[in-house]
Amino acid sequence: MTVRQPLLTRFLSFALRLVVGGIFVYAGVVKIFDPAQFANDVANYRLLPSALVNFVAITLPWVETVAGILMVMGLWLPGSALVITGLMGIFLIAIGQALVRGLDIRCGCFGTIEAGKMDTMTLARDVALFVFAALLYWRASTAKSNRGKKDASTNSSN
Amino acid sequence: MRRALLQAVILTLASAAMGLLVNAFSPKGIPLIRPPKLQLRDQDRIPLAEAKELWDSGTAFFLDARTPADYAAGHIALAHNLPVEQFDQYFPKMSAMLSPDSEIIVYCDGDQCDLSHSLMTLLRERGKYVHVRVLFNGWTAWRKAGFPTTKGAEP
Repeated sequence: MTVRQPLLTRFLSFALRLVVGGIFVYAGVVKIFDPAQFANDVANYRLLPSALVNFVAITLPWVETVAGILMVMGLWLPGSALVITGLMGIFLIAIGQALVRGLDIRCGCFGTIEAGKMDTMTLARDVALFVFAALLYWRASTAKSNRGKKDASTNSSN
Repeated sequence: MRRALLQAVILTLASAAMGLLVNAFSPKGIPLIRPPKLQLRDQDRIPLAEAKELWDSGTAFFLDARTPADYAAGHIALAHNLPVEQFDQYFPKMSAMLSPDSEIIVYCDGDQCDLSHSLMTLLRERGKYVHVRVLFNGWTAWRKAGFPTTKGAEP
C-alpha cells in the first residue's frame, strides 16, 4: 500500500523539478553549442589548471543537460538531484571566490546569452537554485527510504 | 544514499563520455588540452595613456575582439566589432575601412583574455596590417579610467 502525499506537496515538487531541471537543460544546451566560449569563461575563473579547462568545458554542459532532463522527467531523481546539488555547490564556490577576488568576469552560466558581468545577483540566484536542488534531493532520498521502511514493515507483518 | 551516489556517478560518467564523443566529431569541437596561452611581447602592447591619445586624435582604429553580445553590452566609444571567432564573416566589412598602414588597436577584456592577441595575429598575417597593437585588458582598463564608452550592436 502506498500513502499518497498531499496534492499541493506533489504539485510543488513537480514545479520545482521543472524549474531546476529546465534551467539546467537550458544552461547545458547553450554551452554545448559554443564550447570555445565556455572554455574561455571557465578559464576566466582562474580556479582550474589550464590542462583541465577544456576537459571541463567539454564535459560539464553534458552532465548539466542529462541531469536536467532526468530531473524534469522524474527519472533517477536521487541521482540527478544529487548531481545538480553538487554542481550548484561547486558553482557557488566558483562565483563566490571570483566576487571576493574582485574578478570582473562574465558568469558563463548560460553561455553568451547572458552578456552582463557577474554580480551578487548571480550569487543570490545560484543560492536559490542550490536550496531548491537540495530540497529535491532530500525529498527524493527520504521518499525512497520511507518506501523501503514501509516495504520492510509490510513484509515483517506478513 | 548509496543508490543516489551510484546513480550520480553513472550519470556523470555517461554524460561526460557523451560530451567527449560529440566533441571529437563536432566541427565546433575544441582540443582536449587547452593550448598554452600566447605570450604577448612588450612591443605588441599599447599603454592605456597612448591609446587614449590616439583615440582623442582620431588617428587610430579601435577593434573589439569579443563576441557581438559582449560588444553590444558595452564597448569603447567609436570601436568596431571584429569577433575573432567569426573573423572570416566580419573581416571583409572591416577591411573596407582600413588601409595597410592604419594604426589599429585591438582589445578584449580581462587579463586572461587572449582574443585580442589572436585578432592581432590574424590581422598581421591575413590582413597584412603592420601597425596593430593590443590594449591589454582593454575594456576593463578603459572603463575603469572613465574614458568614453557606449553600448549597442555593430551597425
